[in-house]
Amino acid sequence: MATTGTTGQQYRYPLLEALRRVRSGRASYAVAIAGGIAQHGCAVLAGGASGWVVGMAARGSRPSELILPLIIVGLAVLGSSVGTWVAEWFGHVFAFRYQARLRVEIYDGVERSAPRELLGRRTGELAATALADVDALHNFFAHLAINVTVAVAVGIGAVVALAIIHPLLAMIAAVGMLASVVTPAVVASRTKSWGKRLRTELGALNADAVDGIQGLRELLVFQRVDAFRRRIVEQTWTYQREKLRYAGATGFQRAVTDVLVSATTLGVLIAAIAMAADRTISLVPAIVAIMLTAAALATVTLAIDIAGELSPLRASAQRVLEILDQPSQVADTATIALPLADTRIRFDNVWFAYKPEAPVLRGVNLMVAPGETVALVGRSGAGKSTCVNLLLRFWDVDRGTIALGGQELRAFPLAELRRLIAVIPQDVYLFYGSVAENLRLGHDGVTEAQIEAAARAANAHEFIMALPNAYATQVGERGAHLSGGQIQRLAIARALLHDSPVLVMDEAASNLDAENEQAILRALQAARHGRTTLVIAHRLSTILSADRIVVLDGGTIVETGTHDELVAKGGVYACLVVNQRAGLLDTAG
Amino acid sequence: MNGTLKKKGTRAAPIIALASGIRPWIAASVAMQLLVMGTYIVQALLMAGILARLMVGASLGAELGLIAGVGAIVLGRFVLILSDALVVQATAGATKARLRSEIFTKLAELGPRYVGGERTGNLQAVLVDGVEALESYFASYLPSSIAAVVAPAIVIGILAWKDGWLALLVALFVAAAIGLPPLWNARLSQATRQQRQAMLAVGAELLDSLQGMVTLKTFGASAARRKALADRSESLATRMISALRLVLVRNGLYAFIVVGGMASVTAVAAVRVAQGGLPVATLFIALFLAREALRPVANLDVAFHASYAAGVAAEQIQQLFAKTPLAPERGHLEVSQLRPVIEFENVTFAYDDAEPPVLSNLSLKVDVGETVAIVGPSGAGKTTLVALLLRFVDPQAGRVMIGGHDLRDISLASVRSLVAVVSQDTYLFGGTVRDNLALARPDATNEAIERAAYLAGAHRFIVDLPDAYDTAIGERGMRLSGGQRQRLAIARAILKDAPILILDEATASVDTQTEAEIQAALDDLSKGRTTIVIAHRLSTVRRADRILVLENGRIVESGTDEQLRGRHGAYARLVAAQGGL
Repeated sequence: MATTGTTGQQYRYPLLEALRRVRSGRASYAVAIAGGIAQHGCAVLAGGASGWVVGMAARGSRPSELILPLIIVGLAVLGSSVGTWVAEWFGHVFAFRYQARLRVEIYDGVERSAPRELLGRRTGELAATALADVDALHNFFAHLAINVTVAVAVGIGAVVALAIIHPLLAMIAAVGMLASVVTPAVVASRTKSWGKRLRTELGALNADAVDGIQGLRELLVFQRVDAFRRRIVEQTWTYQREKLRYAGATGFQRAVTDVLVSATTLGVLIAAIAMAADRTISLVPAIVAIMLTAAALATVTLAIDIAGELSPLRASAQRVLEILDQPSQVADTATIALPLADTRIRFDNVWFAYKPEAPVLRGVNLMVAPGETVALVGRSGAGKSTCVNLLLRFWDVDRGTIALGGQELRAFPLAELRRLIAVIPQDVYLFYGSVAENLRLGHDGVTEAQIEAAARAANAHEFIMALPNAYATQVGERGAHLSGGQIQRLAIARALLHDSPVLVMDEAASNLDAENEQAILRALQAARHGRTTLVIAHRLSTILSADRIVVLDGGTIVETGTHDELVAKGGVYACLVVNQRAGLLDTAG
Repeated sequence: MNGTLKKKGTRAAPIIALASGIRPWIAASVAMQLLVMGTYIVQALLMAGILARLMVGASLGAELGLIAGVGAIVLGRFVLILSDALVVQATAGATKARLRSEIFTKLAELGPRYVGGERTGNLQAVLVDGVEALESYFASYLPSSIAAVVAPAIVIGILAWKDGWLALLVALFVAAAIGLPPLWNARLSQATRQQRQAMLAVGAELLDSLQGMVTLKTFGASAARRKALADRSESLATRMISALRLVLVRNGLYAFIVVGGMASVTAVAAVRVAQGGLPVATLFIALFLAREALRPVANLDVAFHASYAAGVAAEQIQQLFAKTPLAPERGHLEVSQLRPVIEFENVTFAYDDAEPPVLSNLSLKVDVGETVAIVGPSGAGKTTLVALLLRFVDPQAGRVMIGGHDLRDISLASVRSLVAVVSQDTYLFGGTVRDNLALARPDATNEAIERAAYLAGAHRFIVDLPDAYDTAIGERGMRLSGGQRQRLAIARAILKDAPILILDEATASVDTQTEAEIQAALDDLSKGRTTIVIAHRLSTVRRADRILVLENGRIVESGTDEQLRGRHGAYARLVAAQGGL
């Protein structure tokens, strides 16, 4: 519906970018990496020192000569265990805290951008994926990033240690390690597009599952359960075939890594022994070199194993960053709440476009006097909802001004502006939680008596009391099933509780049953009392009860007046009224 | 130890039970992974052999045979690793296809009443993610647990043959690695479960807030909500960190046992060689083999964590399988030519025994070709009538009959073949318009489909769609308006051509302009069929042969529009409330 030109920014290194944004907790992270280096470095040291012990023993040393290397082995084992604890503790603490912050930042990103669309999807929808992405990123923050850094450090350290023994050994190990890093990189670049296909097929499977669950009634009635079951099985195999291909690639990668590790160990072994045989190096360092290589390779392959998860994690980081970098739609620069002289709403030559090439409002002039009720009428797409979006400053006007009580909207702090205007939207969103919580909406100062009074005024008290736990009844997908009319009455109660001098209502265009229609009409009359009210109206009864009717067509106001005047005029309004049925204007367009 | 073993047993049992029929596949996969391990052990022995012989002065050239042996082993393992990756996926595929098929069949058996009461997301998660999660169990945990037993056993066996003390030492460390960390399992799994729940709760609340963001902004409630969420998110992190202590003790223990185990075996062997109590060759064997005994045990822990989700998923799947359907298949009467007479005989129905019945002692009869409208306030039980007639639920007392047969004696397929429904919310599936219409009759020709669409008043808008009948609609395609969806629903009903027709609030969710047009198509459709019309708007029921007014689960009035208006009862009140339409 409402789109702007915002497209997602592409980040070259989304994972690193996500790490770069860390504001606090860098120290924990550094400690975690130091711990990881201790963990794996000491493991390599333990390997090398074991080689020393073995070499000495094999050479025929006395037991007492083994004491020093044995102490080193013991210390290295201890160091490795402590390092493991440090790396995991600080890594996880960092990850948990950072994830908690990221979740709030996603909330902020959505808060800034709603109700705008992003990449053709509602930002809320995108954020649902982003939340799952934050969970997935735990693996990167707590394990992968640390392991990769540590593997590089330990790998280099091991090569340096080997170089001290003999440069040739260092060279063999370095080549082996590099080769085992290159393979996954090559495989990853080849399978990059496969990951996308995998997700597409999984998406198709999920869509089938939703279809099968939500359309179960139809499937049963038309006896298509078996056919649909086969469809799910087929899609399972389609997805599985993609996975098989992917598994082939990653299996190949693992197999190649395994060959390279064995080849490197064997290469160092042969070279070391050959050099020991011709006395280029002595026997003990030769065995130390072999054990050192084996231990260092274990660390490197550990990092390679988990590096396979990098590509989906990159995509996750990309999605999270997109939300985090959502710009504010409007700047909240005003700081002082202005005293309001009255509650007059004034649109003065307002132009607005969501997309530059398609202006929605073209010079709208509209005035609602204090206490007056104006019904805004027009075909769908005429710009009615846009007027409300602008009045609430979800967007700013392109040209012209909108003023409330003589002050331009931009002069109000956003929080203040939204306190002054209560809205009854067309699509009412109910949160998980009780009826009372849904009416209160986080405003702690509201008493139970006030809630009940608002519900009574909105003709909602009676049906609420009939719910299993009255005001404490849970609503939402799993909660009480409320009818459309009941939900609308809750929205009215919500607005009444907000107790603002200005009321904006976007009336639902759908049919209502008789009881609800009556109840809602009465509730609205109560809500409007004494308030400056702007109603986007579809119902003739609502329109008739307004003080004035304003007809919007093609982004401008084409007619203003009372029902009788406009009918007599025989223009757009009269045409809408003629085509009305059962009290609803034909606004379908 | 007994307790933990038993616990593992109960965890494994449901998952294995879900794998019936694909066990040969699983066995093949396990066998391959055992072979991979075998190659590691042989390689270790060969390497030890090479090293030992070179130490005593054998020339490199003399060892070419052994080196070639290592090369052959490495290549063999290359093939094994690659083919195992493929076998694992093939196994997973067979398991998943089978399970999804069974789960979906179960959902269909449980019916719309059950499915409607659950969150779509939850059921979807069981059907898709839950089944996916089982893969980690079959692919990783199961082979790893077998490897964790078999590999150490082989290694200890080889060492015992060379030197009993070294074998004993390795056995001690393996026993510690297998036995010690699980002591934490009970406390850990409780903490993990609580954490998961807390995490899910925070996630759900956050998601809810994001989806309702416009409302929060409009009511100036976003800052307060942000603070509450930030607090909860932060306290969740704190809780998870405090639970971490437990996890890390366990992880540290593993690290210590594995690294320390290898070091100790090496140290003891070296000292004994230095004392002259052990041949050098055995030292090298111990050096290389200790790692092969301890590594699989450490891997087991990784696999255990990876398969945690599998345990949860298996539990959910088992719970679903344990549910009993509301209206199980009982009768096997296959009928296609029944007189379409509908009778409700003293029917009492309650969704929940604790709640007052929705229908109480209700009797009604709809004759062949008759159109009966049922009106009444919401909650009067109108939609329950439809659920009973389609046998999505069974009555607690009384009988629902078609053509004089109790529905429970007729096969479910037969019952549903007799009835076509046009309801308020028409579900459109992912796929083309044609697919969605053909749902009603898969063997329908294109001509039949287009004719049905034409009769339903849908043909004109369909040909205006980008690809006409081949336009993709539903969740993944075009969105259609309420009126357009209804017309497709009517076309489906026309195609199905069943003798009984139910119009359940068929025009409630369309705008008024299209209502009249749809009404005309519905009137045509109901000609010659036994029809039940359920409606809120009285304007749509006036033409019915008979109108029944339902209130609190009972029929309070019955007659034609004219008769009922004159009676000044419940119907007249409804008429007055709707502005005398």
